[in-house]
Amino acid sequence: MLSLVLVTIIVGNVFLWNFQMNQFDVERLREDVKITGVFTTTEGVVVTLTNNSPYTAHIVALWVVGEDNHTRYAVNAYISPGEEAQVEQNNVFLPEDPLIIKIVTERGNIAVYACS
Amino acid sequence: MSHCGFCCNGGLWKMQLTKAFREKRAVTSVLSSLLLTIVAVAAMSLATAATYVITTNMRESMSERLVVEDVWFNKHTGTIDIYLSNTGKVAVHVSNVYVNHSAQVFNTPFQLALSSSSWLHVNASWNTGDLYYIDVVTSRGMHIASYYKTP
Repeated sequence: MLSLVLVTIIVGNVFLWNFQMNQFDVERLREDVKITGVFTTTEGVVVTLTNNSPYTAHIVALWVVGEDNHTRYAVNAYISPGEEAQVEQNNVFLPEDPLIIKIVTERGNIAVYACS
Repeated sequence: MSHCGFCCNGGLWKMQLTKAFREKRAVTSVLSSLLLTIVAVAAMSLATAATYVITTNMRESMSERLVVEDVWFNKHTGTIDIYLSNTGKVAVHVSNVYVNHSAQVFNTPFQLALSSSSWLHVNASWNTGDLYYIDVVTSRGMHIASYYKTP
């Protein structure tokens, strides 16, 4: 009887875990963060972001991808649903050559912005 | 005159024998119940352990999430550098990397703990302007594959 209860709990846990991961995937698919602009200041770079999803987005990384260098900067910024926010990263100087700015969310989504 | 209880008291002897037989039956009953209990407990323990092992593997497999944040065809080192991030709920171990379906050498062992990220350096030759199909395989069998064009 005890074993039956244990087996039921274990199998139930798997179903619960599966449900949690499905929820995680749904949130990841529905997350929609876009880079609307990038500009430099004397201190570094400012990236303007828009969160079009119904979930709060947690920005964890900012990438500056140049021809000769790919650099990742750790960022910790939260953007509420429907909000437009600016992420400022000091001591980042953009190279002259064509480059790409990317931001990465905690759920694993990536927004890309090509600077001409 | 001596009396032999064995021959003279036949009723007592019969009673003792009957009692002994009864006792034997009782022992058999207890033993069989005990044996059945042990077998049942062992079988259910085995079933529980098997369920736990199988479901743990399933749970770990379904919890793996890996993201390729960046792919850098590095001119300086001649390698393909892949930045991987673990967004799942279990630690990830990369077991193989394939470039255009050929196994490549990379910085092994490559493990990513929960919510961690790191560069994976793949020693594969590449040419400018070509398209490459890069497939990263984890030890649990998950594939992260996509096409990447060199600059």
